[in-house]
Amino acid sequence: MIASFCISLKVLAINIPLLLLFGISIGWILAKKTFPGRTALSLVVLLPVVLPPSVMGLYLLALLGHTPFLKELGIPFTFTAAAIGALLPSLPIMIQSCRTGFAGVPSLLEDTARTLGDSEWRIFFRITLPLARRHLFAGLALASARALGDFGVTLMVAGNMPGRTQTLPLYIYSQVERLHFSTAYLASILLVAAGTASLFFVRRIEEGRHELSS
Amino acid sequence: MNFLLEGSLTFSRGAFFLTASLSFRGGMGVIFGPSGVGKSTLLRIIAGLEPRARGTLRMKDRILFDEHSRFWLPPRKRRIGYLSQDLALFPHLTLENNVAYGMPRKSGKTPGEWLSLMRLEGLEHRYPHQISGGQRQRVALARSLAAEPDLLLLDEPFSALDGPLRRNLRRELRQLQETTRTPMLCVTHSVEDVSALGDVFYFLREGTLSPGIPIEDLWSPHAAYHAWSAFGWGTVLQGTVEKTEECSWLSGDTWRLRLAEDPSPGKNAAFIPPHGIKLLYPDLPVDPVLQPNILEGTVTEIFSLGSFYRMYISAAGHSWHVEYSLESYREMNLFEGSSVRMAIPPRSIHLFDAPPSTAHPEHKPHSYDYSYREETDILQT
Repeated sequence: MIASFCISLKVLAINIPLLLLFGISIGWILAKKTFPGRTALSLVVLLPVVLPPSVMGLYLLALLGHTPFLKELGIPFTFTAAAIGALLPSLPIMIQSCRTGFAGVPSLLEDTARTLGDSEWRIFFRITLPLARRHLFAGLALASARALGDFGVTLMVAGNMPGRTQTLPLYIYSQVERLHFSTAYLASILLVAAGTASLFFVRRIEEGRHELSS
Repeated sequence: MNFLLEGSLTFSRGAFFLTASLSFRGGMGVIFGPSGVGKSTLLRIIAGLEPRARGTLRMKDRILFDEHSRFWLPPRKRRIGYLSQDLALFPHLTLENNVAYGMPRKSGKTPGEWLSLMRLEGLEHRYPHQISGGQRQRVALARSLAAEPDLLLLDEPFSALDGPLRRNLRRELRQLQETTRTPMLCVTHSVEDVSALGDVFYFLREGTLSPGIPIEDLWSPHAAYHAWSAFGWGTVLQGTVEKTEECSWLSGDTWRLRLAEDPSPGKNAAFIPPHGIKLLYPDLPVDPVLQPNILEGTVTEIFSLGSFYRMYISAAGHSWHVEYSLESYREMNLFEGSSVRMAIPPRSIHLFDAPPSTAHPEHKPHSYDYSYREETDILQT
């Protein structure tokens, strides 16, 4: 169980910066930019929410294992695949949350910052990001919990190899299969605690929202 | 010619169209016009916040945008401050940091000095939501000026404030303009702001900007009548000021209107903005203040202009220009030829002759007696 716990933590550690990077950039583009295909993009990023994990896993497997160049990297059924498998279903949560947060920052504030001499990058870091940060943190908490708990996609692309790709949810499945209920329950408690902690964190953020709103 | 801002531009968005030839020397310019004609859009174009504007505009020796050479200077390089109607203070920053936001590195003043200049000392560490509306207005102004712009654009800077605060801020703004020598262009739909603020006056009507007119011309009795008549907007009256025991009156051949101010007797002229004239419902009581200023007339022309109606009423040998939103007076069911009763509130009558400093209600609180009635009385006002 310790090994699976460590793998889960490693998956999480890799996914948090990736969630921040992709969630913030795609969320910002969807909230602040108008371009042809914006609606299409916003629907595509939401697909993982509605597709069954097995279907997503299958396509991801095909992408990683059968496309030229990517094929050479030999990603499927490695730890990297487990990380990607957990990222995919949690990313929509992060993107959606960032998008809502950025869209809630009045463009008038950004326009005002422009006339005060700021470049677009500085406006992003001085105005947009700080004002959207509650949504960002809330999104990150929920998305991390989702990444930590991913089962289906990880199983499809990374398999269930103890010590290499077996994360905690997969470990629980294997233990139940072998009728080792006590360890399954123990691992479950860990995940319940992580999920509860993330919800609690989100609630704290929601409560504090009134403090800085004008 | 040595203009600070010069150019001609067009802008369209959907059915909205704006065209303006602008030449502004500096000092304080006022752009006046009814609501919804594009005053704010014009300021946004000058500030560089509407990249789709066409034409060309230059400030001093810098080109701000030019359609032919496809040049467009981004707002951050224009050195043009923009103070929007909503103030747009940064809610997550203290007042001090708000003011410091656009300050140049080697600025002559600290944020604290700017705040005390605006009489906001001691509030450095407050957040915008912790201060009053008038204070927020001052912080926004300080923030714009602290960035040391070559030109400051103000979009209805007083719209959120009520009577006395408005007057104070107007005076302060005028003083600030004189001390900082920052050229300012201010947009307003209030006739009072025009007289109290500006050196030069522009009139924006139905998407077209008038040439600049010196404010003196606008309020001197001989030039004003022609200047205001030329806009073809609002009602311009010529008459004689008379005094009776309780108040002053402006009289023409067939009409006599009670005035809110107390001007010197003699020949005079007055402007009444189209939204200043109230139509009266026949079956509702009328505020006694309006009683002497009621006229009966006939609608000669009425048409809809998008969000509002415009009509001309013939009464007492004069044509009166009235505008109101689509929602008002709906149940009156007005058409050409309808008889109407209308009231001209004394506060809506803006006399030309009195120079702004004395004509301006600033020093005569009694002339504001009518303002509170509008909100509190259930009578028609």
